[in-house]
Amino acid sequence: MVKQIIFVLILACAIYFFYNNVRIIARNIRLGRDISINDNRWKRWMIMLRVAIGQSKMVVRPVSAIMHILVYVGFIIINIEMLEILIDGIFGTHRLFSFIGNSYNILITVFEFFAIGVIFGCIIFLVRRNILRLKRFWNKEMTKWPRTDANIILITEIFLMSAILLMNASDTLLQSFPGSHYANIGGFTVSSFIAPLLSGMSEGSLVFVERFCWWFHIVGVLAFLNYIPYSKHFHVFLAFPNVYYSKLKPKGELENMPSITGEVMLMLNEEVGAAAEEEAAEEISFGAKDVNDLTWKSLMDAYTCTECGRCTSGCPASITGKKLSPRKIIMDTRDRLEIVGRNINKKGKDFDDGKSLFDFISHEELWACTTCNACTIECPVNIDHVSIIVELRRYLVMEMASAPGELNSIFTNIENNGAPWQFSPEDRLVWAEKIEVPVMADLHARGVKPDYLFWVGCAGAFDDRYKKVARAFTKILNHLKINYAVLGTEESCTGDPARRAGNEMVFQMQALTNIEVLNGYDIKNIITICPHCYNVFKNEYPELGGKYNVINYTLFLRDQLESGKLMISSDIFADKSITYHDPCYLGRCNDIFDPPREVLDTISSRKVEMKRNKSFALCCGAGGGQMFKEAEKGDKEVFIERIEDALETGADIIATACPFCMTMLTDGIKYKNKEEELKNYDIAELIALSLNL
Amino acid sequence: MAVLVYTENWDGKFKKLAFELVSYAKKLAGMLNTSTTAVSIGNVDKSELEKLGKYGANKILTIQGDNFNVLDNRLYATAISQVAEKESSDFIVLSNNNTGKAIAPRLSVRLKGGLVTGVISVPDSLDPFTVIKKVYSGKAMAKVVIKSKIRILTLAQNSFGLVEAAGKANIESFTPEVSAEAITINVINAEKQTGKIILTDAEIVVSGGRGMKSPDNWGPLEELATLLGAATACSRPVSDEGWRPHEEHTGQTGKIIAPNLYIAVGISGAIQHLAGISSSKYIVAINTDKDAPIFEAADYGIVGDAFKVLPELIKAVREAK
Repeated sequence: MVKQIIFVLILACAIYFFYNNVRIIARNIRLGRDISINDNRWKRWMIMLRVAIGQSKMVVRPVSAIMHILVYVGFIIINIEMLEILIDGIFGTHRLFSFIGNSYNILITVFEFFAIGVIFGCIIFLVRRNILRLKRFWNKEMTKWPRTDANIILITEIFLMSAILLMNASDTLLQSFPGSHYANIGGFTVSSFIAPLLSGMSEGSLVFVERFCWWFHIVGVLAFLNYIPYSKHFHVFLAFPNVYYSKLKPKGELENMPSITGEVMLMLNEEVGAAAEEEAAEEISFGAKDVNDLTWKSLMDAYTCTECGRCTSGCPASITGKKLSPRKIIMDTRDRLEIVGRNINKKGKDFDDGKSLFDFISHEELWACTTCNACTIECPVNIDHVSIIVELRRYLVMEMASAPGELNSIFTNIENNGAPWQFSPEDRLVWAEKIEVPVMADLHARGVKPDYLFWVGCAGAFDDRYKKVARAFTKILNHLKINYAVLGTEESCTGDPARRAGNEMVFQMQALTNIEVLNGYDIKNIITICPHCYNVFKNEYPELGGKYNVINYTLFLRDQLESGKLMISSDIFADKSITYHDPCYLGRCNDIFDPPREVLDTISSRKVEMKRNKSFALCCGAGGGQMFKEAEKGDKEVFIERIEDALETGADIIATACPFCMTMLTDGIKYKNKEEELKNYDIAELIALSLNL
Repeated sequence: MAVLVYTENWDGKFKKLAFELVSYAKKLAGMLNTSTTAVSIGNVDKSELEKLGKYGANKILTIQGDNFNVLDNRLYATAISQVAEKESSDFIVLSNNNTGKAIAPRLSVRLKGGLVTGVISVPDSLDPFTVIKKVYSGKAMAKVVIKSKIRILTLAQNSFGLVEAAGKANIESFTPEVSAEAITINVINAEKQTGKIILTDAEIVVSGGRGMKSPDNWGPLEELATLLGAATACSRPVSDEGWRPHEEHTGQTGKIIAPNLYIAVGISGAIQHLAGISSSKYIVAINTDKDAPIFEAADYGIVGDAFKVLPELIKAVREAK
């Protein structure tokens, strides 16, 4: 009876403390900015089923995936036994479920196999962390506590599982003692191998072992339950809701800032602006300075992170020795949130400790991000690191005016010249001087309406290397007799680099002006060559009133080739080995992986893949505004790391589909002095050459 | 009442820039029937100060002292605004270089005066006070009216020219009232480059890229630069590799220059480089690759090996001299 009371008391305390801690975490998460995520419920459940329950993103790395699944499944299955233990504890019964007879032994045996699995998994994990010292577990943010935390979890699980096995083993032995109150229900397969080790012990000692293990296990489990909210291990609970609330939009799409729209509208049109401003009047500051400026989803991300470091091991900045580690951004967010939460508990809701996220995250880290989304692809629980980074950049740029100098000059250039480089908008058609290109304004004046708008982009207009790509694609359009036009001098930067560098103001000014021009011509279909322009048109302009059918030229070319309208007439590249570099804003950010490859298949049968390809392709290093600034300090430039991947394949040609990638990779080839061995062409150039255009 | 002009010095010497500003101020003062007062900050010899008189300064106020040896935009703005108040000047002229662009907005706030930067000529009209500046990367001119009583202008370099005027200036010294807290900069050490033409000031620039193959091959390039009185520059990979000093790095993230003549040797013309030199008046490119993007931007292109072309070029320049 006393035992039962003690048991119930322990259980009640454990549940009470756990409930309390979970409540605090839930409260902390709700400190975040309110956003509504209740769309696409069915789709969300399916993603949760696949990613969280089905572990689909874990299996990319098979070793840790198998181990993790062992521990994960074991953890869930063994919880069924917990039910029996709890009932036994409360009512003073012993192995209550054994009445089901033989099935009971089978059931417990299955549990024992899982227990062995968990022990095995945990040992392998400990070896990987402490003996093999996998790089991602020894990054700079993996200092004392995160490392200890991981080891505590693994060792505790080994102890808990061992206790079950030991308990079962002594139980089996005790059954054979004459007159024992241990019901003779028979042994269990796994623990019967352990039983011989205990066979010399007296009945009293065995009872002690059996009872000790029982209590050790249940008290251990309850203690562990209460440890979890203080630990990275909280992912066992939050992984599921966090995946449910995943970002469903394309990875390249950033969250719009309606408060800025008001400001910009006010500048462009006072009446509309006033109304829009009133609507957005509540928001007083731009971007995020502290945890409460981030959305609750970002804060849930922070509590869900289990510090596995896959994000960091895939991050181009981290790989090349820069200070940025996406995992650290998430861990810092959580650390800061914990402090804010504790301050509220101790000192009340309005207490301000004068600190912010910037006391944890340095500017250097934020400016090293290429927004390539390698981290978000890697994360097994769909954490969105990029949103946090961009929110912090927005604060730095729009509230503190403290962007790196080079970025300030691209903001000015975009504002003044409509291009990130200081070229005159009047020169936007210079690239087409020697070829025939229909211009929208001319067609409009003649009352002609083209089917497609070919959006050339700033690189196509001003980058002397990329002008050749713009011309190559134009020649293909002319060859196909497509009814198209370009905007010419009416074109202006989409605002992509400004948005990703945190200058939402410049982005929306560009966006709203461009949309006005495009809607003025009643444009329905836009073909882009630059993936950054593509991403902005396809994903970000619709919310601002620009809704078009946006076609990336690789898809356009693929369709034309597939339908037979475009026939490759020469085999100049047939014996060339070609490797394709996935631009982040085409691949990861917009899921276009195959069309460019299918286009290349038509000109060469010797295609090779780099070791990092498709969704795991390494960024060229230019995204997120990096194109226009010096790289942050590190061991290496990202483009060199990437060109090494390409050189490893021994390919003759590296094909790209992005102006920024082209600049970076061409630079890489030069740095490596491999201009003779490896050539960098855009897909449009390769097709134009194959068509003898 | 006088037109105030701030004349910047480098190590106690005035450059063409300062004389151009004084010439401009003198012309403006003539239109307004008033005199011209130049302000000089830092240690400048009397003989050097007197040179300003040759271009029409009637009075020169010189501010000297240990606190004023280092360019500190905030401190200088304080000093100039005190001069303006003392002289009750309604017109202040500065250069549109980095110093002028840093000081002028501060003066504008302090004196509540309207500011127009990058002015390219004398006022179009005095009432309303209208000046002309370039906009849209020089593709258009804007006429801008300043309505405030005090008018501040920064003059675009090389837009007015030098106009000598017979006359002699009175040199007076002036001591601004500056609190101790206002002095925030202390120069610990300064290293100077000698015997070289400063890249951003150069009218001709000879620049080398990776096509130069090795840091040991810069001889002919430097020889050509010396012959032409040109500054030397390089592309980013070259300075990254340590072949050339970092201050020669020209391009988007390096120096942005606009010489009259830019000779690019072994530079392929990546956008990051061209973004820093595209405002050059004439671009001449020498490159072995006829498809190099630099030939799109170049006014004159030579397809050929730099090590063969450069000696020929040097010979030709020698002969022409």
